[in-house]
Amino acid sequence: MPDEDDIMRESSSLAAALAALPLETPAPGGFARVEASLARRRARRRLVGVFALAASLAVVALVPLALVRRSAAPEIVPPVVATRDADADADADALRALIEQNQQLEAYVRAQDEPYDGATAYASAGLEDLIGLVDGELAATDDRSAQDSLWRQRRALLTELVSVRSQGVTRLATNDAALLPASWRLD
Amino acid sequence: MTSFAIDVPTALIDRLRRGDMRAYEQIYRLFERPVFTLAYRLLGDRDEAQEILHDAMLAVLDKLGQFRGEAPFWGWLRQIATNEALMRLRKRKLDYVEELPEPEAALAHLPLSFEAHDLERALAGLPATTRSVLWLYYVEGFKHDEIASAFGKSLSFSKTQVLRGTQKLRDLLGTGKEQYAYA
Repeated sequence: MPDEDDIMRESSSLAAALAALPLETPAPGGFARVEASLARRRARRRLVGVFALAASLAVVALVPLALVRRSAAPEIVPPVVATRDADADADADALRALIEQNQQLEAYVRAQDEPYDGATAYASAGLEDLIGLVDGELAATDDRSAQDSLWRQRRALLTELVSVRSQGVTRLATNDAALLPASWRLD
Repeated sequence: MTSFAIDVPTALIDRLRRGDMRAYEQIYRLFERPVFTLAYRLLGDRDEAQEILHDAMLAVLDKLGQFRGEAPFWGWLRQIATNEALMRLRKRKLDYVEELPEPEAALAHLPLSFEAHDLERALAGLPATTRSVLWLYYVEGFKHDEIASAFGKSLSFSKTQVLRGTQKLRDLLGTGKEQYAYA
């Protein structure tokens, strides 16, 4: 078994021989690839910034809307049925059922975690705006048929909101991202 | 003597700190071959070496704030490249912990008549870990404790790898009949 002294004796010649090997040359275009990676990083940061800004703006817009909606939202108490007519009872039951479904969905949304990313917050804010508009129309009408239609719209929007917030990534957000300038998109 | 030993003017590093991309490109051009060569010698694969060059150069920007200028810039960059390459080697896990057989014969003097391509071939015949240790020890001038630290191993690991790796390299160069069993 050779000892360290033997190794040391020949190490200088081996080191010299190894160090004398020519330098290897990388494939051309390496710096361009580094630049491209840096550009992608910058784009990613910008995109995150865009979504964060959008989410912030949505929150700013949403707070007053939510306050208006809260004050203008129709009573969730089922409407008083004025007659004992069988058809009227059936209509009232159907409307009550719609309202209860809306209440359940609202409770579900409240129980969900806050959106964890800018894209989801942005999409959620859009849906909540639409729900606010429906609430405004509900508050302004006494027409039973119109109320029925509006409560159905509201239920559909709430269902979509639940879906958006649970799935995180949304069609709305995807479409919005597709509208961004090409240089901002990620590969 | 390491090919990394290139003096980089402080003014160039200052420009890099200010985000001057032309300074960055100058530094890239200065060190692309040393970084690529080191990575290729350690990993034995040109594609992986290319990736190490890419990642190491990006890491220069990411970690520039950590460079205090107390040691030469090239040494700092070489450490980044070494760490990147060894991390890649660790991920392979295949021959990372391989053991070289105990050398049986006493060391003869290294034959000095071989050509560069013989040495290249002999290097390629070594296990990647052994080749890496030899390269860091003989060419880059790492000490045993530095090699042990870089590999996360004991001091004896480095000494043993140098001892047995040197013998194996000599065998591969001396006989010319080795079948490069570790390739």
